[in-house]
Amino acid sequence: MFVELERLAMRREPVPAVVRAEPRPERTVLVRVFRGGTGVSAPRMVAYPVPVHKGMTVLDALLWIKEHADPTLAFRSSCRMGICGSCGMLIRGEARLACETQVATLGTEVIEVAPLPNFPLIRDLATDFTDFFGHHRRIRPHLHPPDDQDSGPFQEEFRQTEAERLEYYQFTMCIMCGLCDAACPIVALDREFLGPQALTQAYRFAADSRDGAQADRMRIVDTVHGCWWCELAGSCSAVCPKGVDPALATQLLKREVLRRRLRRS
Amino acid sequence: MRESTLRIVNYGMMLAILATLAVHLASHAFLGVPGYEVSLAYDTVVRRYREALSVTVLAVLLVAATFHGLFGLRSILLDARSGPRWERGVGFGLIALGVTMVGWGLRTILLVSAGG
Amino acid sequence: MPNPVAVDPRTGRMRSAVRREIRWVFQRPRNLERIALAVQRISGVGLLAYLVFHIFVTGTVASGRGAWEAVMGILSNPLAHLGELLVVAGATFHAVNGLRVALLELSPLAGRARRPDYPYVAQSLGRGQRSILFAAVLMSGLSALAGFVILWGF
Repeated sequence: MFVELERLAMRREPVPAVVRAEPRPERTVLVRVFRGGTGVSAPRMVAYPVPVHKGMTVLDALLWIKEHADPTLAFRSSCRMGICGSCGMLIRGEARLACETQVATLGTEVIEVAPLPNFPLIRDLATDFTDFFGHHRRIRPHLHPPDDQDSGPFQEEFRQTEAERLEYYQFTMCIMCGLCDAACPIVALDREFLGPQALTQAYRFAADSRDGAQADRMRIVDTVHGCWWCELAGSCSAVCPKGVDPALATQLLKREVLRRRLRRS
Repeated sequence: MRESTLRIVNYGMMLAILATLAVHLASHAFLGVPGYEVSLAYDTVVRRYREALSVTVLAVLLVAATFHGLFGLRSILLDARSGPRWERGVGFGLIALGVTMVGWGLRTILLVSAGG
Repeated sequence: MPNPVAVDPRTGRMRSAVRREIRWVFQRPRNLERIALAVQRISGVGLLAYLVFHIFVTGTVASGRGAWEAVMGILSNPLAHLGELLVVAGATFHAVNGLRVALLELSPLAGRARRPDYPYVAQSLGRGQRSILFAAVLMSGLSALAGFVILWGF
């Protein structure tokens, strides 16, 4: 059989449909993509007709464009299954993951794709996440041993009940896709604001019974541009693809800050 | 000063506004007066400034509303720019404006209530 | 064209504060709570401006009967009454929505952390706080109506 296929390939005859990898396209949609970036080229929207099939996502469409129409298109993607958080972008004006947005559900023949707002632009659909990761690092996003733990190796495991785990489990689902920061009006206004993602992770560790750095973390978030800068627009929770509910985490964080202040006074 | 301290004070001011503003609006609609026009008459206004309860409500409302309003403005101004110099400038500017507003309001209260 | 609120894609520079303050309102998602924040900010600034004006207008009572009645004469016109209606409606919305925000920050109205199961439902955008928001709009309308009746009578 392989000898036959080789002969077919050498004679430049089309490969039979039974071995073709791509599903048969059903229709064509127009995908208008933001192109350009500072110092690269002038910003403009470029339209690409893309054949779509059932189950095709916006990410599939971008990969098709890159393979068949324009290899210079720049965008980030990795897992294609909504777990890496790389492919966040504006799809029809709303911050979404491209791999989790099916073309069919958009219900339109023209799809506009643009880079995430509130992030500096690198090129096309790729944005700069330096500040975003910087805010995340500022809140010390890792477990610290309790104060009474000496510097030696741990003698026993940290025990935690199911109820204690549920206090923060929801907020561990964050994939750092940046959609919440892209949707937040305060992030749009204020670059110093920690942002819903960092504040959610600050609460994730503040609520973890195993962590010993609560006091430090409270001092970091109880500042100008900290947790009090959140004004409950709720857009972060409206766009989160993993059900993390950053708005809830931020309000719980504010309550935790107040609880500690009033307990100390 | 920690941000949470200012927020706790702001919560207190919000409660104070809710209570005193309701009384203030009611006093211009039906409380102690037959109607709105009469509540704005010179004699009615001066009488109100000479009643202890009424003037206390006005003074509390003045301080609470000034603090709450300027605190909100502070959030908007600090969203616009960042940096220690801008934060200090906004802080001092708003304190100055607040002192002026409360000062002028208290001046009115003292002059009219003492006018006897 | 996309709507990057903070950064102008043509220059790569941050937009001015005023432009950013206007643009974020039109950015999606346009959920009700985001619109409520915009109205809260606008009404707050409006009420602060009115407070400054009000403190200095009422200060004229200290200058005697003549000054007070002159100022009241100037302000007794339909346009001023319309302004007063706007102030009352704005203050009512600002107060009730502010109460909603304070309850979300201080009480379990926002919700409790729980295991997120698909389809995800954001608790912070739940029905409890939405109903307070609708109440804010309703009460604002009612207060404007009450103000109309008080100012113009029936």
